[in-house]
Amino acid sequence: MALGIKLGMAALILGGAAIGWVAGLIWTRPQVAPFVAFQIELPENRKLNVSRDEVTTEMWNQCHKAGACSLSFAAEGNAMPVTGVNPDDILEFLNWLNLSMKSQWRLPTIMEQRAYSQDLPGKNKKPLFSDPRMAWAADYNMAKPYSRDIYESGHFGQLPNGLRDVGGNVWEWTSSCVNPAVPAEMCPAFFVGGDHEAEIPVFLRDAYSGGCSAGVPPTHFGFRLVNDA
Amino acid sequence: MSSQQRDTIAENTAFGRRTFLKTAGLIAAAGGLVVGAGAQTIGPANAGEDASVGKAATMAPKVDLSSLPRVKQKLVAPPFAPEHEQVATGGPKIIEVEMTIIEKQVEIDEAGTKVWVFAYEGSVPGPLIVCHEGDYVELTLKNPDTNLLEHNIDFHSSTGALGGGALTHVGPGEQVVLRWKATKSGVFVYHCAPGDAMIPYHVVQGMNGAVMVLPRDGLKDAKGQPYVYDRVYYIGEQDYYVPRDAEGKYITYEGAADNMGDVMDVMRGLIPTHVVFNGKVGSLTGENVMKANVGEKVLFIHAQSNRDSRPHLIGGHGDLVWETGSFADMPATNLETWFIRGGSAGAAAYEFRQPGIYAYVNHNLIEAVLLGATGHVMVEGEWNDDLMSQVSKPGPLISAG
Repeated sequence: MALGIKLGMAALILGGAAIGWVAGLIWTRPQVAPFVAFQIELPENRKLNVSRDEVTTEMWNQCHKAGACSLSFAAEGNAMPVTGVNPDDILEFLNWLNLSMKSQWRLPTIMEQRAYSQDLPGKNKKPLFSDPRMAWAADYNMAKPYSRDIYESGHFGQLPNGLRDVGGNVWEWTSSCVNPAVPAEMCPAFFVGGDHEAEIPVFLRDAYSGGCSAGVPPTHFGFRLVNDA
Repeated sequence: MSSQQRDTIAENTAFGRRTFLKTAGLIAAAGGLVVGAGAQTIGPANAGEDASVGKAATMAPKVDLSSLPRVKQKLVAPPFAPEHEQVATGGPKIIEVEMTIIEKQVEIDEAGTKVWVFAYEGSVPGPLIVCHEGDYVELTLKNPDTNLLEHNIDFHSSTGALGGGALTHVGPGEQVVLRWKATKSGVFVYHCAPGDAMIPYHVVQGMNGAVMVLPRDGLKDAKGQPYVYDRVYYIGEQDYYVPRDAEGKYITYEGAADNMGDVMDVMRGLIPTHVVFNGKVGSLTGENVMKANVGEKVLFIHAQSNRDSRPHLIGGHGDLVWETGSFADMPATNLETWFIRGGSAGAAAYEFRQPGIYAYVNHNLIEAVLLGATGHVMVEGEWNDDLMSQVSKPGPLISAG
């Protein structure tokens, strides 16, 4: 079976992990470990399937094993989200993943990311500066930086919509270019979503701690899969 | 260091680092920096063989400071300065300060890399001491018996006996009192200098700090007019040399000084693994951001006991910069970046004119971004369109035709 959508079987397979379950789908294909997705309501009655977890190292390494992804990562991190990837690397992964998928998995847009992460506690905090001329500094993160340790999927908890680790220490690439007028293949920097949003140059795979950009930067870069329901 | 000593280090790295500590002490003793048994130490200046030294000593007037007022200065952890007057009231005083040396393991980055630091009063850098020219600083230096190593202190602001280093060797369970007169105004570093290879080793384990000796009538701007600051931020830049294992991961050591042989090898390459402000990555960012208001004059003191640095305030300037640290010299004005020589402190004053976030960096940007030498200042106030305005937001190119 190249692609199976197993409604209602998720709870059986996941056992106790399916707390807060509304309508879960399990996606499988021969080469890739099954993953769980939740259907999220978007504005204007749009529905989006969003993977419960960030793509794991195990899934990534399957892509590498198949010869489709250039990068490979140590197998000891298999149960953890894959990090150290940039949008070009992710494109390789998506091309491989979607080879035999009927529906096309992709990165979320920043608007979609905002929609499914809206219940994060930090999302409604007051901006540091309210003057629109100081929007560039308004998101400065006064919180303690995350540890750089990477944890197994699920470590940072689950939102009411079922998604896990949305506010953890792996920031998720989106497909939204910081300049919406520029096509993706020419885009110099994309938004990443997570505990706070950041604009990250396309070549970066690792986040660093300093520099002239305002704010405490993301800790790691990974990604989550979505498709249009 | 002789090749023989290097061999000794190499051997002891393999056969046990604590053994090496004893050996290092013997090497130092043989070199003449530390003479005597046990904790009793005599510097070369005290050898008494030179007739002129003896003569000068007998002719020196007896010092009686009993009439001077004594003031206890409560030291505070960086980036803050102890409470102090900018313009001295009254005559010279004896400023009493106390520092306890703490050997402890700390995390220095978000990856959880752990190093042992030897910290004056528990902080890296050690606390800022503030006095006025003509004052005396009387330091009680305590080395608790829970520590493993011998320590001391060399004040660049002091005169004689290797900056006090020769008179302040204290082993675990000992204390010493040193008094020195502040004869030069400016900002100066202090650091541990127990002898031989232990000197750079202790300094790169965080054992350094700064003193600010203000002119009695306060700071002056480039026109000789009094300059009053509203806040002080004290930034100690620290280079660490953390050894890695065969897989490239930083090694965590069980005890203080267990790392010594390995660290020496990394130090000899002169390339630090971390360059950070105030002991660790992120100590001046996020929840620890430095704060100020528009219209406030902030004095940034930057100390680096081992290595050159080049502070830069992204989005601002140095209005007045005492780059070499000497307040007796005219400050440079309106600098973009200033240079801190390894083994010195400098000061830069800036009046914030625009709100927002500023980055205070070592403008070797590799060190700032990849190695950690970044701090932030959050400034509140009203945005000034005259100074800067985004005339149009980023948009498509407009063709000339």
